[in-house]
Amino acid sequence: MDINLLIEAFTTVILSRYILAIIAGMFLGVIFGSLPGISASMGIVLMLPFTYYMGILPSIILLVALYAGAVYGGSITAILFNTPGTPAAVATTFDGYPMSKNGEAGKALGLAVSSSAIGGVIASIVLLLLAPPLSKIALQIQSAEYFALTFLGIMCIASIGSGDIIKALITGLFGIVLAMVGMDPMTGVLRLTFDNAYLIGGLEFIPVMIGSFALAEVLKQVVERLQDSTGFDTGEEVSVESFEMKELLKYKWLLFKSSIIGTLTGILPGAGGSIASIISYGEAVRSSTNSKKFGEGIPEGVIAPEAANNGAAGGAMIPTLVLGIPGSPTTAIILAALVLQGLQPGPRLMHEQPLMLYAIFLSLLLSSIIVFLGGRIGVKFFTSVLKLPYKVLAPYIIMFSIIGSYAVTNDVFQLWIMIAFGFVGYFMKKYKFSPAALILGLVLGNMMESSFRRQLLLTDGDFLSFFKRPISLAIIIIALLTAFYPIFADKFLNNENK
Amino acid sequence: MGEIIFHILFMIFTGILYFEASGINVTRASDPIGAAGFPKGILVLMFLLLIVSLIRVIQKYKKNKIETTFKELNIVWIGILVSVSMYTLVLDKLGFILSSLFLLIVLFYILGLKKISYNLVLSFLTTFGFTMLFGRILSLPLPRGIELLRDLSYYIY
Repeated sequence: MDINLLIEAFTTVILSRYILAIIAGMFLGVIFGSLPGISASMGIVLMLPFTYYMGILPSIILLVALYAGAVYGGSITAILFNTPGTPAAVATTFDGYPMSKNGEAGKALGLAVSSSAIGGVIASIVLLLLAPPLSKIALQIQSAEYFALTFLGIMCIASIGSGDIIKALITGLFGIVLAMVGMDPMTGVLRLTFDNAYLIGGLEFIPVMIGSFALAEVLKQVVERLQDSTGFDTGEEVSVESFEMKELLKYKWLLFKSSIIGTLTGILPGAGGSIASIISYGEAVRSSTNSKKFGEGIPEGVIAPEAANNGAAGGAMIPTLVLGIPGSPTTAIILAALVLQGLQPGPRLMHEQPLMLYAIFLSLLLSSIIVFLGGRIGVKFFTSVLKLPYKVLAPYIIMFSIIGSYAVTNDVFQLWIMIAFGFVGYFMKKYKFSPAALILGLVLGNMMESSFRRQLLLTDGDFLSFFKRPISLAIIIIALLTAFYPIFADKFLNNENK
Repeated sequence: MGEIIFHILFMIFTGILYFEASGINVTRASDPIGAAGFPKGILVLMFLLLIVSLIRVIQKYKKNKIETTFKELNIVWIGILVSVSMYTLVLDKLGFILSSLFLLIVLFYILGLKKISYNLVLSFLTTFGFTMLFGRILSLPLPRGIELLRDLSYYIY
């Protein structure tokens, strides 16, 4: 790392107009990220025309800050309404929403914003120090490892998703099957479309996510409120109080570990925040002395996924900028923005535009710091939304769900998907099938299948090849341990007690 | 009992998906398992796990004899699903503004906002706010409806 270049990049980025670009980007990102269906990628696309007039550096800084803000924004609705703004925030619902139900919405949001910021800061520092060697590691990862990684993601969520491993596995597998709907990416034949033209392009995960989380939650609330006679005239009993910083320090090791898991997962193109947050949550459960309390609303359950998904957002910038391989739709649009500005991301960017690269990483760092400072102010505003009477709040949630689903492809078919999964999702929640596993299966399904088939193609159908590569084998073993360790541990403890 | 029915319906749907997967054209296969191999394998695994889960649920049901009640059979629960479905049916014809206005009036009403004037004002303001935010500021191509409604919508978003 060239210290002089770093200082030059720093003095460039802290100019007031760049700081303004970071604040504006972060603010917009939080808004876009918090609306399910109105994603960070849509925010970046909407901002693209404005960036034409802004010059290379401020425009890229704005977009990167928007991206960082959106990752935090995804946690807001996850905590308040059990509706993740992005798939990367699915794991945040596990403990964030129960905390909110326990009257600790302010604390949960405060923890989310602080963990997000710290995850982003750690990822930015890793990027500044290690971008070139990490990009080489990313290139070593091949089909077998990608398959193993998706397998690990599914196993993690199966073991923690709903308290019932078999039901969570069923819904995870169902999600994978739903990801197969549409055109086969390898041969181009149509699969599971039932001759419906709308399904040729595949099943969009946003309406499925909105239906199975947001609409299903409204339906669940209706039944619960009628059953316990709470009715719809009252809002939630919430505390807008955030938390003391020293409380966060208790979890410093978890924060660091989750941020590193996130950053390392994020550097793998395509892996992204969804796997990172689930793996990090799984690791937090495994290593905690309070593991039985996860899912009931404990701070560790918010810190781990939030630090990880923000770490992953930072990590995802490495393949995008250093290799020219975007790992997600959002980073693909950032890549397109760079190209529009006349830059060519890829291995040569490090040599030809090192100042630019450092400035981008520093703007990520500053965005995280601004999220930390500004997000805590926003917590009080977001939390107060929960105080609205449910008879007012529920129609708003439904309207956001409708617009979020419609915006995906701008047709009403997505609304039917949302309604269908709202109906099914309600019963899934009722009978302890995990909607989170469904979403993760849907998000990871294509990557899992294509890496599995590509590996078989490369090895002439050698199914054992997944176990012959050391990284792949190690990840598969970790995945199996993650899934079955709780069962064996329980059996072992029961025998000990006898 | 509801959980048993849910399992059975899930199994039937898995079977339908397997039947559909069996019809996938595999003549163009470039890899050892082809386009149908992965979904069929996953569906078989899913079906087996559903059987295991169903057996566990039946055992639990026999042991506890939980009484079956359908808490979902209430006007609010059904009303939400029906009104959102009706909204989806008419959205392309009536356009975003009119459909949303009707939907919000119905939702506010069934959730207990019975005072008509308050309901109408809140529905109108909410529709206006959503239209401005998503239709104008974010330039989402919200549905415009047909004929006259379509022409009028261009004055608003």
